[in-house]
Amino acid sequence: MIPNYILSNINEARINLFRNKTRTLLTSLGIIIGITSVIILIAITNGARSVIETQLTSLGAKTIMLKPFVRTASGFSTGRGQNFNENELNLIKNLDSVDYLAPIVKASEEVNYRSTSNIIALVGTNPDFAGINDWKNISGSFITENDVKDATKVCVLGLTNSRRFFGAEDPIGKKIRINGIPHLVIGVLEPKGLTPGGRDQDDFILLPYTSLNRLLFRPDMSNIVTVLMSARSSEELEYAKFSIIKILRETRNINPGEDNFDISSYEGVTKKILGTTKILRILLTSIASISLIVGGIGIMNIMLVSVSERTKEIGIRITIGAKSRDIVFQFLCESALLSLIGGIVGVLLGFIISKIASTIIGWPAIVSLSSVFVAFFFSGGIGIFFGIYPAFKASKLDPIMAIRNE
Amino acid sequence: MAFPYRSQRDINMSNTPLLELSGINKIYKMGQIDLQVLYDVSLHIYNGDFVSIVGPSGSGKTTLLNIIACLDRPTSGTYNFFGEDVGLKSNDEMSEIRNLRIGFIFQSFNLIPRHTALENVIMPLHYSSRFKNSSFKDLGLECLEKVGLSERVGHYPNELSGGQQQRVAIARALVTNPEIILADEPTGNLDSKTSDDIMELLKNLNKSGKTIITITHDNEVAEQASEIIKIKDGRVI
Repeated sequence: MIPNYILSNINEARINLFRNKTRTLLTSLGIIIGITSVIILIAITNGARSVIETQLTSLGAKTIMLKPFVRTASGFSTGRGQNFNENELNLIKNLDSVDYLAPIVKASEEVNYRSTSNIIALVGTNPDFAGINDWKNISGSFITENDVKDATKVCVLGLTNSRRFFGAEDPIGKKIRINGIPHLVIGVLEPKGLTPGGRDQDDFILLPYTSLNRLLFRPDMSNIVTVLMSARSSEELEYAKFSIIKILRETRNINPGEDNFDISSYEGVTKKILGTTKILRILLTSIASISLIVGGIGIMNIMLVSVSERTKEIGIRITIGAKSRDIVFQFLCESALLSLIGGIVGVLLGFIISKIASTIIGWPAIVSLSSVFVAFFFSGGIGIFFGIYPAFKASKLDPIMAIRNE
Repeated sequence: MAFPYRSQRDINMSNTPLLELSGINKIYKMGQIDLQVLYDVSLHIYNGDFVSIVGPSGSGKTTLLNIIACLDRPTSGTYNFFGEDVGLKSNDEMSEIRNLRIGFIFQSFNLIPRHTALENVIMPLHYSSRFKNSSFKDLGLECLEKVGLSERVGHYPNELSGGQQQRVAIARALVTNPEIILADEPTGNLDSKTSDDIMELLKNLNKSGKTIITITHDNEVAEQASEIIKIKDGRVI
């Protein structure tokens, strides 16, 4: 509970500030502008960050790739480490820091539909594949767990293959032949276009990895040479990699340096890009802080005016027994409240303006709770800091002279 | 000189002075020049006294009152307040004396304009840890009743007549139940009828046991007191 002494001082400050509404508003304008701009800037850079992060996710920034280690001699492969078994994959899948895990089986086989025939890249995987590279369907559905379990003869087409075989026709529900065996088309994926290197990212057909293995007459797990995973967030990427390495070393009973697997990710890119947004945010926030300091000086100025206006009152208070600290506290309460009013108005304005701005610029504005708290503490702190000098000046008044002041 | 009424001191027969000033000098430094305002002032004020300090303006009576009020310190000399040397007290201890043991009444009332009568009266209570917040209102109302202003508790100073404002100030002076009331020209801004009422109130307070010290240049006011201290050119005469 707040002691009554503080409450009565806050009440005193409230009476004084509300008596002079125009002045209070004008004085806190500096703080209002400062806090408003800090809130907007943080909201918009947060929004930008989340947009960048989603884009990075679709580029695979949270993706971890696991492969057996390939031994090379003079540039030629001389053998490779063991493949991953189901137990290892289950342990990895159960990690908190890992969201998705998709085994990858690759092949190139002949595909035909009516008179069209072509050799197409086939990718055998599971439902998690969609989450890892942010693949979405433009029509139909995706591979399900049951498809994987039962090795159903279904497939999902990349947009290039949908166009190649079906043209303008709707491929859903049609059957294409892969190595002569009919597979039901259940979905078409949203296009991702070309890579910077000119490779078509949509020229492939997805199957359940069990179905592809069966098609190629291979046992279920033997051909899993690549495993794709995605970390829950880009911040957790390193931790996820560390945990995966630990699991594999434990199950395989190997020491560091003897790893017979290869783990890689694109964390460097993520770090650089997110680092840039951080620098941007620090820069913009420090520019906004200048207006907070200017606002603080405004508060100091008006508190000095207020002290000299109330010289007589201060004289009366000291005469009837107020100690220096009572006077200091009274004026600090007033400057802190003045600044906090600015802070509250600033947070509200900042919230409204960033919502409006976000609809105009078309990316989300995220007003975080932490930025609101920081704004409150900052504005209160500025009020106290810039109120110290006027408050001490008031407390040092000579009551004999002060009380004669009219 | 005939005193208009019997002083409380005669009834108490107390011999130790409440306030004891001896050899008080006060020198103000005005740049290069030293301005001596009080010369070797010594006086004793006993419990229950009603003392008037009189003198022309510039005689040093206000400076003397400030020293008695613990608002100012003498340049030399000792001042014992209830047997304790004020010269050894810290500023905070002097504030506490003013808060708890002295009630102040001024010529210009000195109420705070944006506070109601009641809020003005209870203001000294905020500066002491001796009183509970829950008791503030009752203490304030009690004092306003003593000065006959029970009807005006919620009024602001500018809604009150001069006499009423001075009554609020007296209630404020009484609220911490101090032993001493210091009144600086308490009737200076009032008409004669109201002045009489205020003086009557002070006399009644004196009867109820308060020690009252007033400074005035109004002889009519001074003559109400049981003792008159005349001061001229910084010396008690």
